[in-house]
Amino acid sequence: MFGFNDNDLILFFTIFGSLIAFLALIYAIFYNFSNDKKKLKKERKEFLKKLSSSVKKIKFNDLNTIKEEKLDDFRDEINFCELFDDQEKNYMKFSEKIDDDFYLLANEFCEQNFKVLKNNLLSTIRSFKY
Amino acid sequence: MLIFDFAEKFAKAPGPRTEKIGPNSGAKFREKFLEDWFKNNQAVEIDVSGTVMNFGPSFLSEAFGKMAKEYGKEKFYSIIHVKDEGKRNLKLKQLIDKHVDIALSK
Repeated sequence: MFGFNDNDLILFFTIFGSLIAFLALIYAIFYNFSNDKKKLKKERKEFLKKLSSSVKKIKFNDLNTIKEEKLDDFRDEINFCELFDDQEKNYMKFSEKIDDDFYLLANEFCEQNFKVLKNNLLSTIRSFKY
Repeated sequence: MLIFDFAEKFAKAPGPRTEKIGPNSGAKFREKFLEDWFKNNQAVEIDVSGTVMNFGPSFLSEAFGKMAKEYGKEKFYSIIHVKDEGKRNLKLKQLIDKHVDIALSK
């Protein structure tokens, strides 16, 4: 009635099948990309949480040697973080600032100033845009 | 090539970016040593195996990043070498490479 023969149907299903396969591929790529992005965001969030936790762990009454060890560990954490490759400059600026801030904190001898520096450092980490 | 024992000639614990923040800073190291080496074309092998603390990003950026920016990659690596031995030296080498790349991409 519509004038289709077998060849037309085969051609139709081949094109239709290819189209479905193509759309499935696009979806899979997008889905993976979206999942990778979510995963990276989660890892970055966890990393910043870990940094905050390292800052919280340093106490005014810690011995100087303990404070130095904490600064040493903190530097390792920020130096070798590989979660910010695509925003390297932004992260570098941030890491340099918190390195100096942590240094000041570890060397502060006035308890009141220590509290202020600690809060400022935590606030800097919290407000980092990633 | 000049061999430079960082812990003996500068500090066992590398400091922050500037002396205003704290002693043994990246700025002091640049002014006291790096600038002379570059001006005199003096190749140096830095050995940090005697240090007791990691280098912070602010020190690295202020000292090595600034020199790389001023003199370019080729000249930088013709002057600055890091002893190819020991954990602390290998770490420093990796970090200097990173900071040179960042400084040159700015």
